[in-house]
Amino acid sequence: MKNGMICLAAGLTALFLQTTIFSHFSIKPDLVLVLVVCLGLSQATFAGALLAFLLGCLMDVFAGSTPGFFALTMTVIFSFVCATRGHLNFESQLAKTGLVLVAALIEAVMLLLLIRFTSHPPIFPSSAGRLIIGSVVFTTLVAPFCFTLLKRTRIVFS
Amino acid sequence: MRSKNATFGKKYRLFLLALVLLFTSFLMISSSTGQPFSIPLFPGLFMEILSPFQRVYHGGVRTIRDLAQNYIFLVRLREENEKLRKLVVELERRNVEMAEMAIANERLRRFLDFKENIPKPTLPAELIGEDASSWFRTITINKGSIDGVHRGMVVVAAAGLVGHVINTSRDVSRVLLITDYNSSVDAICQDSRARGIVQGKGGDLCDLNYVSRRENLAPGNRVITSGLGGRFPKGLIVGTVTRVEKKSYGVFQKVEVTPAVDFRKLEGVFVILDTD
Repeated sequence: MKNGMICLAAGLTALFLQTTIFSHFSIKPDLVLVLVVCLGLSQATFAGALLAFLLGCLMDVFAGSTPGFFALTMTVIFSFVCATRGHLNFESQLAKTGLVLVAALIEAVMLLLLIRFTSHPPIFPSSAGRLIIGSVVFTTLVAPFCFTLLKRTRIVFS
Repeated sequence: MRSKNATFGKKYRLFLLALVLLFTSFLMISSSTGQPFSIPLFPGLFMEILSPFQRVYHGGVRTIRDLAQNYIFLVRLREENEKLRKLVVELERRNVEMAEMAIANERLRRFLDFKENIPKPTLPAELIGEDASSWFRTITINKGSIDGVHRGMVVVAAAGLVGHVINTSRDVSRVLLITDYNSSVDAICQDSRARGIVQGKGGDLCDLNYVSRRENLAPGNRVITSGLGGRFPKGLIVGTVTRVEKKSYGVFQKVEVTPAVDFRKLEGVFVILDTD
């Protein structure tokens, strides 16, 4: 229960930052994605999966106009992280950052496909390359800070 | 036998849960595509939780910006003041001309028995947040259902059309900008009266789709709402044609439109209230 509340609070904080401070940039990092990756690495359980799904739903409230986009992507990313963690070592910051990079890439491609297949007429964003590279790079750059912050938050509240 | 089944269930529990969650997400997407979002309580609650922090942040930013503008940029004030004075004189002159044209137009409309556009009241609102993702284009404004704002209401700025309300809570609302992929506006070119659908491209530009290649459009032509489609009233400025591409084949031509509103500098908007 306590982990769930901390996760929810962290998600709301991330969304606050993304809708206010990071709105000054044309491309924003996805802090919720970093949170979901952390969840996948630390809680590969029912609770973790449900939290990832809920974080995606929370993201849907503040992003886009079609509910379900981020619920789907975050669930897929959580599943991907859970499937990968048993086969690779993610103890180091570098390995975790690399995982965030791959997860951001998966999210970008998924969003691109979802936009393509749900828009009428079907649209392929002209600046797709810039968006994908920008969001992946920016998210990967902020990931180490987020990991450190989450680790310290967990220590404070444990 | 029972213990075998229990082991099987335990082993694939997480996988089954992931499948259920994925299926639920697909259901949410497929049920909401083309239809209004039908779960008002869940998003409304979190929008309400976050909105005070967004307001505080934007209030703080505005204060700091005001301080900087007042105390650091005094030097530029005088020349800017002079420029604005000249602009005001010019705008006043144009205002008088337009008032004359409006009177003449009104006379002609009545003469031809056109249906009058009923002027509707507007509600001023401020932008307090943007879309959380780089992929979509929405904003959050500081007016909600308690102020009379409902889903579907049109939002405009002084320069032109901004978008329409897609979600409301008690105190805040989310607006889908015309530059978003999911936005479609029935529009016409003011000069040639060519009709098309203005669709967002996700960045700062829009496309005017389904324009017949027989129509003659040129960069600089103004695009306004047609009033058809039932959502946007007629005559709202959408933007300006910036590029026209007419291939030697095909039914339609490709037209790019730059919105009249600069969304990067958007601060204040007006919600057109539905009094029907």
